[in-house]
Amino acid sequence: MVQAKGAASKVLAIKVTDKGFIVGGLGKKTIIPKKGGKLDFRALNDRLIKLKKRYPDKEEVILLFRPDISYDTVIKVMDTSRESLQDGGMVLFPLVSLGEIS
Amino acid sequence: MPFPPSRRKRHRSRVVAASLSLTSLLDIFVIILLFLLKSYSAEGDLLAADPNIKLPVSTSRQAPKMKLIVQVTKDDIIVDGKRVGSTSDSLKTKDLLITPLADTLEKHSKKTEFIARNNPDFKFRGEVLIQGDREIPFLLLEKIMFTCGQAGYSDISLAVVSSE
Repeated sequence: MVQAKGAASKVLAIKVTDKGFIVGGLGKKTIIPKKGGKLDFRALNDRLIKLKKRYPDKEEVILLFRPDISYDTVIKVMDTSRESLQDGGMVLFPLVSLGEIS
Repeated sequence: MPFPPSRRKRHRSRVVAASLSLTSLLDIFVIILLFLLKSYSAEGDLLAADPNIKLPVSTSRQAPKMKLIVQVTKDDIIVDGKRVGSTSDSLKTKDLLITPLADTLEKHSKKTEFIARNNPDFKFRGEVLIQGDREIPFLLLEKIMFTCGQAGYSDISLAVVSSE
């Protein structure tokens, strides 16, 4: 019971902001800045692969978006957080929750 | 002034007996029948290409299943082929619930539950497939997902185009 409580409190969260991704919840909070005005999905994927290796039991991720972000970007971030973009396609965090940055 | 047919022509066509080669004709029909059977699908086209919707590209490889389809173009919200509201109006409201969409979904869930009550093989799973244009803002997606959830459709899938 206590263990479940402790596990629930630690969920990976990715915030998608104007400046880039903010990855928190699991491990150290990291900021992945935009590269050439675009979101750096590759770097986010690399970071998530590292996190998955350190916490192999974790499946959930919370994605937080600004309300005006496009559906296309939402799908891309979901793809990036679900599996490794490199060959092999290691499953990372397939259980997605969506939220809005207020 | 037309010429009268010559003597040879006058006698020609009457004698020829046309016989159909039934065996080869049957061959052709069997091939056509097999082709039609193979290309026929009872479920219909799941992801009918709507020129107003450009689906986002994804690396996901899950195949789509038959469920209630909510289409979101830049102008309209369409449930099961019928337009229920305009996208811009739904974006303007402060509330997360899109009322016309909720009403339509409610009707659909009542209908499906009625079928489920009378047919034990059929279950109401609350599944819905959202086909959204890649340009729509996240806020609209959020509103639609919230509305689907409120109307009892909590198993939400997002339609995408495979990148492979």
